[in-house]
Amino acid sequence: MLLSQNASAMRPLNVYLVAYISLVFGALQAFPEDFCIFRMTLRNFRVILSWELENHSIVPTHYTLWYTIMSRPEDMKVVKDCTEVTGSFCDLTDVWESMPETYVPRVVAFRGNTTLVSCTSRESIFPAIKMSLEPPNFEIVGFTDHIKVIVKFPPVIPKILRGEGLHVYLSLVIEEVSGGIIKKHKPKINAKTITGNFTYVIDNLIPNTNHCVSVYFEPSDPGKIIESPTKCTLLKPGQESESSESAKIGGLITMFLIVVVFISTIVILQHTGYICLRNEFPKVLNFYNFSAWVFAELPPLEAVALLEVIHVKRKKKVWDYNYDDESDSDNEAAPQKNAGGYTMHGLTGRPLCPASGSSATMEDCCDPDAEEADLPTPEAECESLMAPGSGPWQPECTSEADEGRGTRLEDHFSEEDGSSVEGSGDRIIFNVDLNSVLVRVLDDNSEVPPELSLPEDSTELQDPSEMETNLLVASGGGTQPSFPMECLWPEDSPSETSDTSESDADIRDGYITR
Amino acid sequence: MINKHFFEIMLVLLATSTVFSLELKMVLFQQRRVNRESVKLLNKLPTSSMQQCLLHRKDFLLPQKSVNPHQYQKEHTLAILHEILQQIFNLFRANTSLDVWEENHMEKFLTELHQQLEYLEVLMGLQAEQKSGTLDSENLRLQVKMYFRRIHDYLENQEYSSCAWTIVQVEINRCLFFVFRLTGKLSKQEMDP
Repeated sequence: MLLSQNASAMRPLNVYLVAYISLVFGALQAFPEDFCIFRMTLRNFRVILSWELENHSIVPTHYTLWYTIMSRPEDMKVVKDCTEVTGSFCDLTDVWESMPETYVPRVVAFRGNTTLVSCTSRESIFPAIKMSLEPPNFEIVGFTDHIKVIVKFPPVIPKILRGEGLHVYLSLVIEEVSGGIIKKHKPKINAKTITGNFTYVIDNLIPNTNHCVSVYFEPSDPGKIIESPTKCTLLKPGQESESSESAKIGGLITMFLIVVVFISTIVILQHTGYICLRNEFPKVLNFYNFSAWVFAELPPLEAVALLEVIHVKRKKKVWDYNYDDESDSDNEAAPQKNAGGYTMHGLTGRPLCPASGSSATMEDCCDPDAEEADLPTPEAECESLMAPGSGPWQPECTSEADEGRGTRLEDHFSEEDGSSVEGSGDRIIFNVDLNSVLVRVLDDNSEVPPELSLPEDSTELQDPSEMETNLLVASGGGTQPSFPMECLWPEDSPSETSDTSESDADIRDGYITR
Repeated sequence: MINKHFFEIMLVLLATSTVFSLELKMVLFQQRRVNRESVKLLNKLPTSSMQQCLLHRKDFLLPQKSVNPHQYQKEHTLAILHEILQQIFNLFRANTSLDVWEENHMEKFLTELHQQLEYLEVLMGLQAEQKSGTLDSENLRLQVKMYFRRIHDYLENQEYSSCAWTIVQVEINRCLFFVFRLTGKLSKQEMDP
C-alpha cells in the first residue's frame, strides 16, 4: 500500500524532471545561439574556465555551464558545480582531467528565470594548447652571492597536469634580471617534484647588487606566456664579502709559504746530495757509451801481465820449451784466451816486459806457447812487440814469417777482442833487472831451439843503451810496448854475450844476450 | 688475457650509446614540433565546423595499452612509435583534402612528421642487434594497425567530408599526445636504465 502510494508520487516527479531537462536541452537548441569567448586558465594550479559573451548588450544574471568531448559521441553534460552561477567562470579542476582531450563547452545565460542566450565556443578547447598558464606564487630570499627562489606548488596536483610529458606543455622558467642582463633558468619538473614547494637556488651572483626574479610557465605555444610580477632583492654586501676576501688573501699567503718551504727543502736536499746525485760517471764507468755497447768487450781496466820469472842459477840452460811446431802453430793459431784468469784482449804488452825485481826472459815474453799459461796474452814475438793496433808496422828486422805472424797476431787480436788497442801512447812499464834476465825474440824459421842464456855478470855485459831499449814501458791500460830496439838488433845488439859465436845466431834467432 | 677486440667492442658500444642518447634527444625535440604543428593544423579548421561536426563523432578505440609507456621495453617503444607515426604520415599523405586545410600547413606537418620518422629509423637501426620480432611487439603493432584501419574506414564511409577530417584531426591530436608521452618515457629509460 505504501509502495503504491510512493510510486504514484514519484511518477509526476519524474515527469517534471524529464520535462525540465527536455526544455533546457531544447532551449539550447531553440534559443538564439551566440558565441562566447572561452578561456581556459591554470590559476594556482586550478583549471578555471571563464567566458565572455561577444554580445555585450546581453547582461545575464547567472550562467549554467555544459560541455562535451570530441573523442566520443556523448551528449552535453552539465557541470554540477557551475549551475546557475553568478560569475562568468567555473572551476573545472575535477571535471576536465584529460590533457589530450578536446572539449566543447557551452554556456546558457539567464536573467532570472529567463534564458537569454546559449553560447558556444568558436574553437574547441584542447587543454594542451589552449590552457593558459598563470605564473605560480613564489618567494625569494637574498643572500650574499645567491638567491633562493621558493615556488609554491599545491600539495595535490590537478589530475590534468599529472602524467609524463607534462614538462613539454608547461615548463617552469625562473628569470633573473640584474644590471639589464636577463638570465633564464629552466629547472626540470615532473609529477614527482611538482608537489609541495619547489626550491631553486640562483648562485654566482654579485654581492651588494640588486637582483630581480620572475617565475612563470612557458607553454608549448610561446605566444601565450603570462609573466609573473617581478620580485627584487638587494644582496647582502660587505662583511661576508670582506671576510671572503681576507680569507682568499690568507689562503694565497699560506699557499705561497708552502711553496717557498717546499722549494727550499728541495734545494737543500739537492745541495746535501740526498737527491739529484751527480751522474757524471768516469768514462770507465760510463756504460751508456754506445761504442762500448757496440764493441761488447770492454777495455781492460788495467794492463796485467803475468810473468813467470825463472831464476836459473846456471850459466846455461837449455830450456826445453816442450813444444813443437805444431803446437806452436796450434797455439799460434789458437792461443788460450784466459789463462790464469787474465783476459787476452788489450794486453799488447807481451811479456816482453818483465816485472820489476824479477827476472824474466825475453824469450818467455816472446814465446807465447811457453808462457801461455802464465801469459795469456796473445803470442808475442818481435813482431808482437809492436802494438796490435800498430797494424801494418813491421820491424825491418823481421822475416816474412814474423811478418806473417805479426799479421796473424793482428788477426788474432781482431778475432779475439774485436777491438784493437790503438794508441802508441799506452805502454806497459816493467822494472826489469837486466842483470838477471834475458829476452828473446822468437823466430819460427830458426831451427835452433831457443836457448836461454843468462849473463854471469849482467852489469858488464849490459849496454846502457840496450837497457833503455830493453826496458818495456807500460802505462795504464792498453799496452803498447815500445820496442825500438828491434830495429837495432842486427846492428846494435851487443855481441858481448857468453856465446859470442852464437851471437849472430842469437841475433838471428832473436836472442838478446848480455 | 684480454681479448684484442675487447677495446674495439667497447668503443663501438660507447659510440652507439652516445649516438643513441643524442638521437633520443632529437626524437623528443622533434616530437614536440610534430605535436605543435598538428595542433596548429587543427586550429586552422573553420570554426563553424566544430559544432556542426558533433553529430559525426566516432570512438576509434585508441589502444590505450599500446600507448601506455609503463609496460614496454625500449625496443617495443620504438616499434610502437614508428608504427603510429608511419600510419599518420600515410593517412594524411594519401588522403590529403586540400579543401580543408591550407597546403602550406599540411606540408609543414608532413615534413615534421617525416623528420621524426627518420630519427626513429636511425634509433631502430642502432637497436638492430636486438630481437625486434618478438611476439609482444608484433601484437602491439597489430593493434595500432587496426586502430588506423578504423580511421581509414571511417573516412571512406564519410566520403572524406570536412567533418570527417575534423573528427580525424581531433583524434590524431589525441594520438600524438600519447606518442609524445611515449617519447618522453623512452628518453627517461635511456637516461635512467
